[in-house]
Amino acid sequence: MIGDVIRIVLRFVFLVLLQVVVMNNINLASGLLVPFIYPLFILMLPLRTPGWLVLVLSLVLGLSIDSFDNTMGLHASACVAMGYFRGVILKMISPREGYDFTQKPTIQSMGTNWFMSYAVTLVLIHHVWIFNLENFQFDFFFRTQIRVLLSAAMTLGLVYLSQYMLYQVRERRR
Amino acid sequence: MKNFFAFLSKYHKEFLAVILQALCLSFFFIHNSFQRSVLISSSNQVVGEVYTQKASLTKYFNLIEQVDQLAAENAILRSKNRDAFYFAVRKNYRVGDTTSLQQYQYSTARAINATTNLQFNFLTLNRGSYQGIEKDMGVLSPDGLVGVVVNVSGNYSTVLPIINTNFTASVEVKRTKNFGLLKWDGVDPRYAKIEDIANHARIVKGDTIVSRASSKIYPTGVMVGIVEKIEQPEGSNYLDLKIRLAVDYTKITTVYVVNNLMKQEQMKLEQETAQTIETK
Repeated sequence: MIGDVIRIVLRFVFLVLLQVVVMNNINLASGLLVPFIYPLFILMLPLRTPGWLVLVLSLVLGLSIDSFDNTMGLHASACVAMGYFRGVILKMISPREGYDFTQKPTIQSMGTNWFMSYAVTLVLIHHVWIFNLENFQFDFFFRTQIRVLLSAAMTLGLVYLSQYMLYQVRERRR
Repeated sequence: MKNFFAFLSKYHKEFLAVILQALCLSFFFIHNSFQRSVLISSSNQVVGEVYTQKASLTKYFNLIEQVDQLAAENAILRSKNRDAFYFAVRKNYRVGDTTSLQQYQYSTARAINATTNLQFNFLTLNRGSYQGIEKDMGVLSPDGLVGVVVNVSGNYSTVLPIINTNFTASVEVKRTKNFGLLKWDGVDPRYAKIEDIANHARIVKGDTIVSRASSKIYPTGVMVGIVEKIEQPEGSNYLDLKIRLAVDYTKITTVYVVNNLMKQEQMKLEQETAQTIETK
């Protein structure tokens, strides 16, 4: 339990730093490709985390990114939306016999199909929310949707990679 | 109350999500001026529509003021026009400081009342002797010749327009320079008559009729009307013209009052000449 908390805090710090130090400097295809790695934090929260805690942690995560980006509330809003829908999606795609709460929401533990439907939905929700809120007008509507799709694809690629890099390394270390 | 708490605890995630989302969005809109401006402007769209409608209505009230302003400016410009000057110095004279003297001065007035359905129609202007209007000054409108001031009070003056059967003025055909006497027959305020045009004048339908300076009231060349019909009364050596008046008296508003600064001089000379001939 304590180990979980420490791991979550470290993951939080690591992902926020990765986002603001590395990912925020990546701007490909003239602004069409903007990768976000920090949603991985919400994806990776343990399955037994209560809903209100997910929401609060999402808010804190979003506000941390916002304070680096000077976009007060933009990332926080998308994160809270994502945090709320995480519960909804988990309920929708739960296995017939329900979750075994020692399971982690990872590819290794839940399988590729489950993980990808979980990650794709939530990342898309996050990206649709954040890019449309940022644009907030009907001008550039289609450009915004293209940004959503391209950036979500890149984010998902990163999320997928993370499953084989960070967590497997840690598993192996144990 | 119990049910209420049960409801709250059942949907606590939803409530929390909504509250946090509201928090985030309010942060967002307070701190980001672009989104704020969009939000404010779209919520102000109704108000803006009302203001637009109001402005489109009230602009007609201001219109009078604006027209007055423009007319005043026009009067100044007309006073500076070349036609408004009397060329005092002939070419072969040594040119001094002044080559021209102001002959006509224009000031604006508004026709606040006009009758068109009588035989003896009159116009009332909102300017009088306090504003420098005097009897026998000419009155023009942007369209053309209107009439002559016949009576002046402190702040108002009445104008004898072309469409009064007492009105006469000497006018000429712009193209051929033949002149005649402008009169109104008292029938249609859109048409007037010109009598006593020389028989040999080659006038065609559509010729322009302009004023002459011989009346000492109007400058030369002010539009009066267009020739509509040419007729020769039986046994007469003169032509009569029916003309369509340039000024529409039913919608006359802004007019210019013309002051001929050299009228006295011209009149005095002409009177003296007449006396001289009489005494001979």
